[in-house]
Amino acid sequence: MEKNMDLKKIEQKVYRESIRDGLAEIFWGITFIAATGYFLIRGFSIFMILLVLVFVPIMRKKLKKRYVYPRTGYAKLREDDLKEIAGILLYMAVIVAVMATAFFFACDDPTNPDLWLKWSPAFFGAMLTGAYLDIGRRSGNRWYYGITVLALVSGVILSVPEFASPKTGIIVYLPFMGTVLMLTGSVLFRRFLKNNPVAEEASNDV
Amino acid sequence: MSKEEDLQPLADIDRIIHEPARLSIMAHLYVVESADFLFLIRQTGLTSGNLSSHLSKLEVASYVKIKKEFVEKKPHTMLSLTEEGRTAFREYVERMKHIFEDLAE
Repeated sequence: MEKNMDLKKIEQKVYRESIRDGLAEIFWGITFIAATGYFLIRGFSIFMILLVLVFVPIMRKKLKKRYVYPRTGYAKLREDDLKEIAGILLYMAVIVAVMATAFFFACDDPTNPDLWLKWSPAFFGAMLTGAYLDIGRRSGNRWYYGITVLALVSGVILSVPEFASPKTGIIVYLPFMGTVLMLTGSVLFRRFLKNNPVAEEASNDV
Repeated sequence: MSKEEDLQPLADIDRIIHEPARLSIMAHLYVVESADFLFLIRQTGLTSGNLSSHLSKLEVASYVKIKKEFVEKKPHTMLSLTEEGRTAFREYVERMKHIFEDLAE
């Protein structure tokens, strides 16, 4: 039985349980790889990415019902969705403001779209950094800080060089991070299935 | 301070929550909005019979709400703390903190 009655630790443990199946990483990986199509394929509509963004959470929910909940049970976490979305939008706005300020002081034309495109890997890196710092804090799992560092460092590294096309950095960054996330998620998911057989207790309900 | 006054904070402890298994159940339900039976088994380490028995006591005390439903023709039980249960748990935690603080002095 639970010996440690530290509520913060219990909350972190519950949150960690909810994400340890790796499905979130797999689906973020798919989204990142799909997003590459927007920069790589002529005529690739942004609606395709939106479709992926709608389709992916539905698939994730179905897989959770099929593979995760019969093994670990289900808990609805206490989350304020609106607050969370507002937080993400505010964080995005801060990154854009920081980048705009940096461009204003460092470049002749901060409104140049090519400049923004060139630095988009750093932008995505900063977005992933925010997301994984939050996941790391909420789960108490330091492993997530590794992804944070990788996302930010690779984003900056791919933004600095002058490639022939300003798209090159983002065309390399998105599939790279997408593959890292998908591989990480696949390993986590496989380990989750192996370590958590379907519970017999599920049939002995209260 | 008289002996009765010394023991007063201990006497005020909510004994329904104070039992270790129920305390674990309450703590796990406190940090989520709701959870199912299997989740609580996994998290608390209690057997299904034990968990069921403690949940019944918490339900009688109006601390826990038990909602039974069928998912794909199988029984599925969702559990959550009532407002009364949340308040009682918060008060219990505060009371225990005070008791330990006083002990330290």
